[in-house]
Amino acid sequence: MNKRKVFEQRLKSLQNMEEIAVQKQHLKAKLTARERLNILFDEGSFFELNTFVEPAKSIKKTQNAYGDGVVVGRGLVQGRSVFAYAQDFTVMGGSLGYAHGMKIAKVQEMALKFGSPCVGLIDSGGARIQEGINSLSAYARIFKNNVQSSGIIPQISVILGPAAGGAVYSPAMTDFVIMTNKTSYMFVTGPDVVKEVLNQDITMDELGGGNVHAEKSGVAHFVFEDEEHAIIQVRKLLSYLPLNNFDALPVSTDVDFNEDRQEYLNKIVPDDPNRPYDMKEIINTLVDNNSFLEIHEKFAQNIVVGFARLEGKTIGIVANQPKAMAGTLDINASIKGARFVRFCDAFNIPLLVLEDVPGFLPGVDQEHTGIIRNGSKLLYAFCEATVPRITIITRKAYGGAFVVMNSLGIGGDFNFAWPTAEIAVMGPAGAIKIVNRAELTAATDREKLEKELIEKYKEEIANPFKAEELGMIDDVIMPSETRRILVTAFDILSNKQYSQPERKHGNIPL
Amino acid sequence: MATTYVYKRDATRLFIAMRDNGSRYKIYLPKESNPIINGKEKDIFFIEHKNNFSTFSMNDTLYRCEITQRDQNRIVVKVNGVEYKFSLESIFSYLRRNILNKDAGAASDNNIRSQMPGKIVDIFMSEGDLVNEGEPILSLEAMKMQNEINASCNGVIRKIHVVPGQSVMQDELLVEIASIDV
Amino acid sequence: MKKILIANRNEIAIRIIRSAKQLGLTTCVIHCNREPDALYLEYADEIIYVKEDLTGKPIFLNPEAIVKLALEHQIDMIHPGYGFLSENPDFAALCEANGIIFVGPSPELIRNMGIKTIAKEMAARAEMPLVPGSPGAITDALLAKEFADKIGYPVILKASAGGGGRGMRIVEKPETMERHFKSAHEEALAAFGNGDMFIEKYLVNPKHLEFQILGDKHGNVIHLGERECSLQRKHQKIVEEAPSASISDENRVKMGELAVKFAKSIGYYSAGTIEFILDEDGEYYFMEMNTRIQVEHPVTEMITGTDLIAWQIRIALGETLTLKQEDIQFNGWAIECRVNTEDPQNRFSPQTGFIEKIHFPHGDHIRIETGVKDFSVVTPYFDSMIAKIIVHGENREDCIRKTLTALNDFSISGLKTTVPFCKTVLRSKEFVEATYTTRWVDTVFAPEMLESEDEAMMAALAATISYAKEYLQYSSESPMFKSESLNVWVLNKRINK
Repeated sequence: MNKRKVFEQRLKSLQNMEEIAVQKQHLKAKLTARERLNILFDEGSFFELNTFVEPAKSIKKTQNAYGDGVVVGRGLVQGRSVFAYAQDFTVMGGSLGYAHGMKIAKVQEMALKFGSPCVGLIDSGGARIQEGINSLSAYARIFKNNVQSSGIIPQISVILGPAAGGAVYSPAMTDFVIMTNKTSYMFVTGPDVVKEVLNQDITMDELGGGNVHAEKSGVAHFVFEDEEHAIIQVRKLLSYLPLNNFDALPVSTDVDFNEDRQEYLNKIVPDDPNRPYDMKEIINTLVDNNSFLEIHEKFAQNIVVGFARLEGKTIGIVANQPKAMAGTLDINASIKGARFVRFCDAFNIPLLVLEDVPGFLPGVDQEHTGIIRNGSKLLYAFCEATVPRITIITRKAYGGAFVVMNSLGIGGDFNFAWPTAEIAVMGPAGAIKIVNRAELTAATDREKLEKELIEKYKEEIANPFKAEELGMIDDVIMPSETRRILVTAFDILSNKQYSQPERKHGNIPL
Repeated sequence: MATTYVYKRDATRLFIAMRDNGSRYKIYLPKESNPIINGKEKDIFFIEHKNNFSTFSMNDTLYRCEITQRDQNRIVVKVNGVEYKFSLESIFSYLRRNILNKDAGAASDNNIRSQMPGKIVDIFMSEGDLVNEGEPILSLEAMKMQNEINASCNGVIRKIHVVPGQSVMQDELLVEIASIDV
Repeated sequence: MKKILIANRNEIAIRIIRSAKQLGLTTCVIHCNREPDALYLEYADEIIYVKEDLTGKPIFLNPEAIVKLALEHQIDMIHPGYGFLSENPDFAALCEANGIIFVGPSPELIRNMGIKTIAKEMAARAEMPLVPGSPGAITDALLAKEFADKIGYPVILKASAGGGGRGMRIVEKPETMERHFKSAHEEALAAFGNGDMFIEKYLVNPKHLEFQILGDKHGNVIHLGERECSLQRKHQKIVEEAPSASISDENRVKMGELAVKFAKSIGYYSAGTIEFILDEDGEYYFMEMNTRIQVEHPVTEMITGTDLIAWQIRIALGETLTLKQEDIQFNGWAIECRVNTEDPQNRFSPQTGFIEKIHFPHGDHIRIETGVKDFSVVTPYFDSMIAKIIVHGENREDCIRKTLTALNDFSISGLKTTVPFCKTVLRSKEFVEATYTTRWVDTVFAPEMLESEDEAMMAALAATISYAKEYLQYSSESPMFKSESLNVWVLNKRINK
């Protein structure tokens, strides 16, 4: 047969496939794999690989299946090289056959080899049953690649359709998972199995929809109402990240901050220690305008994590949120914080900690589900991190939680405190009951004495100037000066290079 | 390797701001001229954008708008002390949203068919372009006259089925438009 | 020089300081933890610092503590402002007992006017018109019906021992009297152990008018005209005007005379307010008397050119009221709009937090009374009023127009206020035609009335631009960042790790 003819014919079939895909996907309020990649990459920059790979010969096809249900390749995101794969649900339900899996593995391996981020756009029915063990071996290779790349290149998964069974573990091992509401699902066992085994009725959305994973399980870092916003979020996220763990951080040219509002920081922390305030307001005032990108916004809201820019340079922020659960650390907050700290450490992103923590969350439930084991993750992550680390204590810094939140003792580079800070082993109410137990039991007017002792404790012990005298913090600073000081401090630390002792790997308490 | 996609990025200067009370504003932000709101070019001057404030003037009145809340595409704006809540959509997210909430008035497709047999002379648009109602899309020569075929609604050109020079029969499908009207 | 302590905060403290300083007094205010950076502190000659417990009640509500502070700081007189202890007879008595002049009437007068039944009795003796009602308790539904037929429906049934709305019923027509009477009676019996009821005519759409009184300790009393304060929400006034467009000149004269007569009959001195309620037919009835300076006093000052607070202090010092009734000339119209940090779009829920930037209108005909400035904090401890904007005009129409212009010139960022609500009021047909009543917010107002089409469109544009900026920024190809090369030191360390 004329080779030129073959060339034209298969191009035509590919176009037909795309047209069918458009019709099928658009009806479901979804885009096709190629449309999605087109949003992800700068226009015209996508370089597709293995376009005409076909499924295993054993598969009976009712239609053309060029590409075996996945589109892979490399493109540019704001001029920077990024690898991606996008599963095509219109070809055999996006099921992962051997050829399909090998294509994904190929881009993963290329991304690792060339030090570029790898983005997966996932919309797949799972392993292709007809291909049996071949399909599973492909999964195995993908998982292994995920782990091989971990900490070397950023890996991002965008779930835009179903991801069920073993398939969920690939996204789970990547750095960020983005989901869409109503059109994407993730679960290990679906509603049918749940019904069969436990006789519980549950919809796909309730079991593993975007909102469930963003709020309850913490699997999804972001959830969006639609695909376009979700994919643009990848572009936004990538603008904060280096391409690999050797790369320099991108520096934004758009540096603007709200100078008028700095003054406002002097008043934001209420005098009454029991009154909450919104830590995000502090963050948004300190960093460059509109640069704060919160991660896990709806999960474990008692800790706030995210990327931001300070004078255009990326920093990672970990902050207690007095507005949620008084800012106490619980299991979920520790895990959320620890994972973020480790990501930043792996990719050389400096860390800023804003601290207002009354302690770990007490309770039978917390103790029994392992606040010890889980809380130590955050401690471990901070101890281990070698990136520049600065802490600002805005108000409470009590007990073990003070140590955990990047104190000087565990290797923080600078600890600053606002004049409103209270630094001590425990809060005044609890402390005086132990220290002054005898006096209190003997007192006639116990309430009055308690009040006096609390005042005294606050003045003499839980006072930032005391901590400063002891060298436990570097300086007490005016809140309105914080941004200026942070810029200088991060500049001092910009060339910080420090290695942990050689080892195979540490043993984080998992 | 490459195919033509419906999705085109230059179509993205049109946005739809939906208020919580259901009213919609279709706002097109041309690169260099005044904004077009609901199909009409407005004499609005941009005075200043600073921090969360935007100041505009229209008919000699100043409007100072403050963005008070922002969560993904949900934005709250305060003007003269009154807050207005919007959810912002690009054309594509709006179309998809309509498919998902079919009850809330789905986007309808408006297909343009030839009224009479003839020959396509010229096509002014390409797939993925934005069109306003009444804007010419192609010209068709029939009965020795060139007729301009206009868009029947505001929307995005989803697919063009003809090429210049092609002869078409009566009722033949020429262009598919995805409407963004309600 | 005498020393005056202002036992209050916010704009009224500043307002009192202004008059007191003109009279040559040394002014003194209290600094409290709840509001450590309050604006009023900047105006006083002396500040008394107190350390208070945030869980207890504020110092301004603690008579003993204030008197103690006053004695410690050699205070000669105390002005209580409005609210807090201004109508607390025990506080007034405590001041007197300790030789401190209380700026206000005598403790007895405060006490008597504070108890509504006594106040009404005294008013009846002075032949003030009262809302028609049963003279004593009624125990029987039939008697109630008979009485109601006489005064006309609707009527309101109130439990004699009542309070808090229990045992209270509005009866619209005779047929339902028996049923309502029975249930109200039983409810009252269960709640208070006393089923006595009395009946009053129920005014469906009342207006609220008040006459400003000034009296001295030597028996001179004058009135300074009326104010209309019908525009209320949650029983709190929000827009006030003087004079009122709701009464005839004839009634105005009559009501003024009645007010003076009543004040004289009870031996009233200091500034005070006699409140009337007006029904739809223009009939007026005495409601109560306020024995303090009121929030809305500036509108009277604007049209009469008197300084009410200065007179309050002079009267307290025993001076004779040299103003005669014929000296009081009314000039033009004045409207006051209260600026409360409340969200009129959301059932007037209070807003607390920071005022990032506040800008007030300026002009010869505009008077601003405020207790805040840029970066002030609005705390949940006190009420939500932060300022008053008072505008004077040649006549009502002119005044409404000027007030709207002034309100348009007001801006604040950080918190929402009642200013848009005030604008809506001033633009409403009912206000322009002066037919508004105390029920305006409940019956006419809807949050949508706050909105304007142009503003909504501009808001949409601002939202779109903000959104588009990010959307286009991140979807555009041109990089928004520069790549920096790594420092050799860093690179070496990373490679040799």
